[in-house]
Amino acid sequence: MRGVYGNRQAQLRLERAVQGDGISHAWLFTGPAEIGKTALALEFAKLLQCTGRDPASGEPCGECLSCRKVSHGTHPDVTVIEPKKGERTLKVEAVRDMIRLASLTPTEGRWRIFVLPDIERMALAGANALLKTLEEPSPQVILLLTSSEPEVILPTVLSRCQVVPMLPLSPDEVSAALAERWQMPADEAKTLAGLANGRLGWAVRAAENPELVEQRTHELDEIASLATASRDERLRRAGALGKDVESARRVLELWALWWRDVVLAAGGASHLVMAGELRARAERLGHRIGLNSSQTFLRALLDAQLALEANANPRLTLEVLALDLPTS
Amino acid sequence: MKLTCKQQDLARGLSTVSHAVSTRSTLPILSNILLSAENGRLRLSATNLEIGITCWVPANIQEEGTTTSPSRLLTDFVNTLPPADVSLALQPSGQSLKVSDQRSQATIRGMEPGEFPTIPTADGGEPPLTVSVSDLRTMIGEVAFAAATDDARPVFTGVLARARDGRLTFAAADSFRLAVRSVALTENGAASATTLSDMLIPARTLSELAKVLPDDGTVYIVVTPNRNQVLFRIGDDLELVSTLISGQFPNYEVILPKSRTTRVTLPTDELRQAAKQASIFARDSANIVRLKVAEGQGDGLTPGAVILSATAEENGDTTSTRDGTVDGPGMEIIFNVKYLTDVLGVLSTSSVALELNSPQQPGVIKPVGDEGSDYQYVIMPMHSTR
Repeated sequence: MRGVYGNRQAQLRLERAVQGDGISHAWLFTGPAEIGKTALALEFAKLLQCTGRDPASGEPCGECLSCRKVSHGTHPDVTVIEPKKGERTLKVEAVRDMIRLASLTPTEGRWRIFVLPDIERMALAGANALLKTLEEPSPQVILLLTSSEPEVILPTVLSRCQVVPMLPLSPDEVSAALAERWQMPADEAKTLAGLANGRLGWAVRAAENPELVEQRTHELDEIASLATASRDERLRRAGALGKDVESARRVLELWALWWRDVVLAAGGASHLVMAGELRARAERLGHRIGLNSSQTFLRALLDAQLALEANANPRLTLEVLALDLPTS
Repeated sequence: MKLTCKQQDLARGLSTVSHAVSTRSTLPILSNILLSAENGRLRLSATNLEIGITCWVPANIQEEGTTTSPSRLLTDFVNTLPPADVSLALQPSGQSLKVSDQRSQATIRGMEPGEFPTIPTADGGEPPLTVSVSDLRTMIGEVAFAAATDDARPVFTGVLARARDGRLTFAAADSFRLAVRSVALTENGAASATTLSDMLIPARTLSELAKVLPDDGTVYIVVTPNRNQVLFRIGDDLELVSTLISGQFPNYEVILPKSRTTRVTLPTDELRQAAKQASIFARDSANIVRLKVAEGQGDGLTPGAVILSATAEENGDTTSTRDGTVDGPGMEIIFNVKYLTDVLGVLSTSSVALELNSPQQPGVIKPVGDEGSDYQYVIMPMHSTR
């Protein structure tokens, strides 16, 4: 599908579903945040509603009235159900409204499609209210759910959906998308793609908010400079980075992203994700500490991510890592 | 777009279509009214995606065109203008509509008409069903209230419409009661044999339709070719389109009692008044009302009667006796009084009949004396816990 980038496997599966007959009525797109799950769901909705496409192709025409309405978010039969502004969870009332709408025939399209991003934000009562519709919706209803944490979704919801697993995009895919769709100069796109960690959604947001790039560059800089800092200094900075779970999670992810380059550099690879100064530092550090100890530390980083999810103290987790950091 | 029309016509048109304007919606365009100057008339449309209303207003068109305008602002402003000519002109840039009369003018900013949802038309659909406005209004009044208002089971929020053997039947139920009524279909004054597969029309749609129906005339009912929408065309200047409920309405015919052991007939307003009295006491105790049908005495002096009694927990009780013609043995049955007052509120005949089989089986209320009406209202009895 031209309108979305990456995750070709997932795209192919949807295209085949549309080309065949009998489309499943509930789909769940899973994968890390900001990799384009909702974008793919909307593109799928566009494909399903398209009135101008060649029936044999798996591509929305992009030009018919229906396609244009989906692109503008004004298609009456493609409804995105999200929490109200300022609320974190989707209230049960919103789900009930949706269930009522789902009992009506479509207004102008072939299907009545509901897109429910980040389904894990739904209140428990809402999820339970949804079950009946999810199991046995009206013949023309299709539900498209997304989640970055499929493991916390009710098993009863999960088992009623076709699950479409999605992965972060490769840096090349991200920079290609930025250059093609958002007309970004190639070198700028490459830098941003290096920072994005496969999350096109973040890259697009960052392209509009330079402070996001600054924040991430600053954090990466902090992480990279830990390797050359003294023991006391490392301890102090790690404590500051891990002041709460949210920031510790983000730091660990960035750290693993950058350290991956360190390991690659240590192994003599030249195809690194980072660009500029960060790349140079990764190369220097990689050459200095060698493949073995860099790999060991990458494993420690991944273990720390797991520990954090299992409720480890964020500050202690980062401090332990900082002390274990190979320096020579 | 440039035109002039009469303020009265415009105000009436706007107030008609505003029944379908969405008050809360994720699509901002839905709070707008679509205005199209075409073929010598001004077309006004509004939709909330469940119901769409289109209305044509006579106008003197100088230049054809289309735009959208915020419903509240436009309607309220037009209502303040005196009854005289009003001119509407779309400004060359953007979607600003200039509304003016002799003394005042306003510029109202609208949205791109391309964003407005397509309101379906019935072109190419099945042949229309034709009923008179008065028949349709009566059917809606007598049936739609019986539909469920909660959305737990969506099919019960709809009214089943079935056209068969020259008659159009409406049926609505909420699993404790059922209302059924049919009318003859006509075509140019003659009986029509048009049949149509069943459709479930949201009860809400029908109540909105009743609000915009004119005093007389003919209504054409058409289903769109994809069978997703039903369209009511009234005269040549009003259309209402509605989505349908998808699902299977239960086979209500098996619920209609085929026999009766006791039948009591009495004036409608007598029973209505008795039910009203009972409901005052019943509202605190689950709306329970005991209805006793007493046979008349053989001496010919004591007539049959219906005795309604209700008890308000700790606050007292009431008993009302109303004379009636009783045919069959006496019987006592318990009903939810709300279901009685609801139906007695919509019946217009001077007398009603209540038909019973046993205290455990549903009772039926039928109008008496209305030629040709086959209205039936079935109520499930409640169980006595005492």
